[in-house]
Amino acid sequence: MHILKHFFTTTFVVLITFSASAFAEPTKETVKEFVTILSGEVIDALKNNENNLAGRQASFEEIFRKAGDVPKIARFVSGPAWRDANDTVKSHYVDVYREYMALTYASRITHYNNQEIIIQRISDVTERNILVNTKLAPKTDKNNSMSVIWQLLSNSDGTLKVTDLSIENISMALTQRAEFASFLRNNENDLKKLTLFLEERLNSFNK
Amino acid sequence: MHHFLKSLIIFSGAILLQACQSSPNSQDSQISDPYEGYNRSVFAFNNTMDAYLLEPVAIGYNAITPAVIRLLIRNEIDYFQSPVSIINSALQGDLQSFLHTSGRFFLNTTFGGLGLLDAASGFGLKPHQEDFGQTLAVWGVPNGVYYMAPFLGPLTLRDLGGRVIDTAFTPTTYMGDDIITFNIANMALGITEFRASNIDTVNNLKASSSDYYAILKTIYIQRRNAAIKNTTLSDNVIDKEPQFINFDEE
Repeated sequence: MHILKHFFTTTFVVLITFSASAFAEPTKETVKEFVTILSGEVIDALKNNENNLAGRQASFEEIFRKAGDVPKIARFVSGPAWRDANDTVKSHYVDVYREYMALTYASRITHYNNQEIIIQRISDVTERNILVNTKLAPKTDKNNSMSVIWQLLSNSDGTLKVTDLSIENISMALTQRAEFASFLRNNENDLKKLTLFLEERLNSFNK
Repeated sequence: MHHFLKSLIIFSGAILLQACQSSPNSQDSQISDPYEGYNRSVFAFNNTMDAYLLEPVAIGYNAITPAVIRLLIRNEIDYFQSPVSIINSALQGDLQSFLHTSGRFFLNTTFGGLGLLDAASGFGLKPHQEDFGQTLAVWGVPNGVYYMAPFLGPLTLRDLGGRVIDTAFTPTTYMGDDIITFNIANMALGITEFRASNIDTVNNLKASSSDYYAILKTIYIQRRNAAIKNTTLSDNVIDKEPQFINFDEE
């Protein structure tokens, strides 16, 4: 009986210790550093590719590969179509979507006007979701700023990934989900057809 | 005048009654769009008008109007909306917004030469608008159906009703010898100024969208939701109401 009691106590202590260390929660400093470095990379991508859509697209794709949770975003924007697709279709769709997302951002964010990112507030919304409220302001006129909210996901190993950007209260993920929804509604919610459609769009832009 | 106001109230009352009766049925767009076929036709018409009329006019306007004059025009458009914002802040019982919009009006009237200059921004009171559509939302009136209005663009039934009411509180409604002509000209100037200020943004969005109609609809709704929550009043947007997307949801 004593052995059993000892066993349960030890197991309990091990479990508590394990659960505390299994989820390495990032500190606010880590989050701040992540957003600062990432926004610096985005600004560099814009600065170096001012009139070069393909260059911006390539730079953004690299940034998404490194710092974005693209599979999660891809799944979200495809809505219910994701559920019915098989793994091969899903995997191919995620690859194409990464390219498409880079093209979308590269087409919509075109200029850098000597602005800087100012981090205003970091807020844990849930255990793993972090919202970072920033503003993008010209270095010479801080009043003329634009709101940018980053939604980050904290992984179990403590690494951070971007899942959404809201620019002036417009969520890129929600906007893309709405864009795809009407296509999917008219195409039997078929993820394969959406992937083909995205490939066609990419080809027409890259011609 | 009495007859005009009475007609406005009856018309907006009928619209709002409709808004209360309808309910959303689309989880993706978060708004009911039962007349999508009709709306898309109007949207195509608006797009054609934009391509052949509005955009060329906006480009021309940009080319011939000095930046400083455009700034004064934008300030004046914002200034004439002030009474609408002040009244609606009061109707919403939002003290912070009421003080903000009243403060802006006072500063821009006194130090800004009747709104020509945005003196209030220098005091930290950035432009902020409230309208009756937002007031109705605060009072619990649902969006109603989505509606694409010829020339005016995206609206919800609630916002359409709100706009009619706001017209009664906008000073420019009662200006000019020929009220109708003056207001059409005033509206045209506002639309041209908006388009001219957003030439690249609109054109990039059009070019990069596979379904521009769907994109515009969700952008309109997202912006309206943010306006209802008054996120622009505070730099700490997250303080207002944490909004995050659950990416595990399909």
